Amino acid sequence: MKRAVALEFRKMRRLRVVPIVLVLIVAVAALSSASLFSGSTRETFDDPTAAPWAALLLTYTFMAAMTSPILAAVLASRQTDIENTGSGWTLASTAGYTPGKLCRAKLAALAVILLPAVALQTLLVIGAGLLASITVPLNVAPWIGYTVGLLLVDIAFCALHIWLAAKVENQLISVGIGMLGAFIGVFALLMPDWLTRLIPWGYFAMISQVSTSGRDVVYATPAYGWIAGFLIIVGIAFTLATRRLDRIER
Amino acid sequence: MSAVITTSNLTKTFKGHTAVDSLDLNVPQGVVYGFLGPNGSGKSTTMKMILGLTQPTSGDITVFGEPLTRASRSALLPSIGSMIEAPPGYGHLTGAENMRIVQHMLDLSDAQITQALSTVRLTEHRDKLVRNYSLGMKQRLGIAMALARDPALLVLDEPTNGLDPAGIEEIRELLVQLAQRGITVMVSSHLLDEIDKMADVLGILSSGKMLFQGTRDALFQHSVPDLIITTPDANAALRHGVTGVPIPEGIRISGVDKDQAAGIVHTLAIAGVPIYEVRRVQQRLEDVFMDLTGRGGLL
Repeated sequence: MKRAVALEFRKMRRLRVVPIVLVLIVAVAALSSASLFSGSTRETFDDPTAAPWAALLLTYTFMAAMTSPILAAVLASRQTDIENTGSGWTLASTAGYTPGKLCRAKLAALAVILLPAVALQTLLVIGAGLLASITVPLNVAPWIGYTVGLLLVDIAFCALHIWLAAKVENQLISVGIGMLGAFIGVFALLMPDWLTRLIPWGYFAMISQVSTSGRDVVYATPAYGWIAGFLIIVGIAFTLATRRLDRIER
Repeated sequence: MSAVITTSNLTKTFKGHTAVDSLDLNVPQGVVYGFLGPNGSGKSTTMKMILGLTQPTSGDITVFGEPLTRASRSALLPSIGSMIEAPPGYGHLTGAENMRIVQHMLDLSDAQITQALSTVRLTEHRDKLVRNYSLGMKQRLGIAMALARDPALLVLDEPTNGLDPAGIEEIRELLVQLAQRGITVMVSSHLLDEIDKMADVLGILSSGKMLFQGTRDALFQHSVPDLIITTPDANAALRHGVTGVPIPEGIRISGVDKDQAAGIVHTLAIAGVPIYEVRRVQQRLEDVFMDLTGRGGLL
């Protein structure tokens, strides 16, 4: 498996994976911190009751829910479509690497890219808050919790899009579903909890560590049980689906 | 000559359609085995089954004397180079980078990669992006990928597809050279002319069934060429019970073997019909093939 993952990094050359990721995380950080520079927001920076860090985390959650499904779709599609266009499935199969193994290696490789990317994205947003002079002490735990949750949900969606890109050669389908997911992801933050839990993209909202209470933004504990259940289901589904890919005769 | 590939009653059915029907294949060692058949005759499916990419519906395959199973496949694959359907190659990478991917997939040495690129004469183009390669260069890269592992068996599905005559000749020469080095080459084509010039042994497939398997000479023996009797008096010959077709130079008789030919000549000579010449029609492989396939194949 280690060798298969290393091969995926070799294939990434010239796919512009790192620039795409960088552009998106910088865009998310910029959009998340845009509100920091409005006059009314600046007045809350030294008011602990106004919870300026929680407000910033809420904006970040919105922006990440809007962009992460697209990021996952684009990365997975680019990394998988090269096998469709380059007869890579057959080449790998004749070397003992089954399509399912290839998909699992792609997921592992993308997870390795996403780990520092999501961490950097969070750090950029926090950095923007510090630069804007939020003087209220930062409560680190919700930020760490959200970052870990976002990484795991991003990986789950990469799994979905890798499988989709392998099954359906037309990549417009995979990327189109990613864009649709971006809309659903944002609106999921406004949906009732019971509905959010039932929609896969709703989990970009489910991992939120903040919520609104009237006009206030407050820290909240996500439904970890549901999130864990979602991740386990995706993990099992991806394992089964990629094993099934091994039996598909191309 | 020992067989590198044998199949017994190999059958593949897709949703009620039989793509390969009870195929008994025998590919001897160290030859170029030409696998001929019209498009859709089951060549690619057979090759995929031999490589373990497709599971047979029934029947057995042995490669290098070993039964091909899911368990034995991984041990056999390092000795089999292949190119099935489209030539492989990641377009966004250079030829050399593609070869390095194969190198790391199979744990090959630098020397093996260099040698494979040199064999297909792609060394000077190795730093070009594959998407900028011509079709011929892509085919050669695909063959280099298949050759890099120093295979004992090379399975190539229509490697000259889409190539110009010079490219076809180049691939043909390469495959003959590889066979001379002891590599068994199984090569498919729907173009008879391509195979005719390089194959030692032919397998002819039509609608999933093997119509003929053997050497070129055996194939010619399989089909008896027409007999031409040159005579100025064709009508006299026909009156004496000879079943043939009048042609400007005399008569043309189909389906007669050596003894029957001798009998006809004897009858005509006794009857006093002047015979200037008796000869067989010069047969082309294409004619033999057409006879075999009932002219159903587009070749």
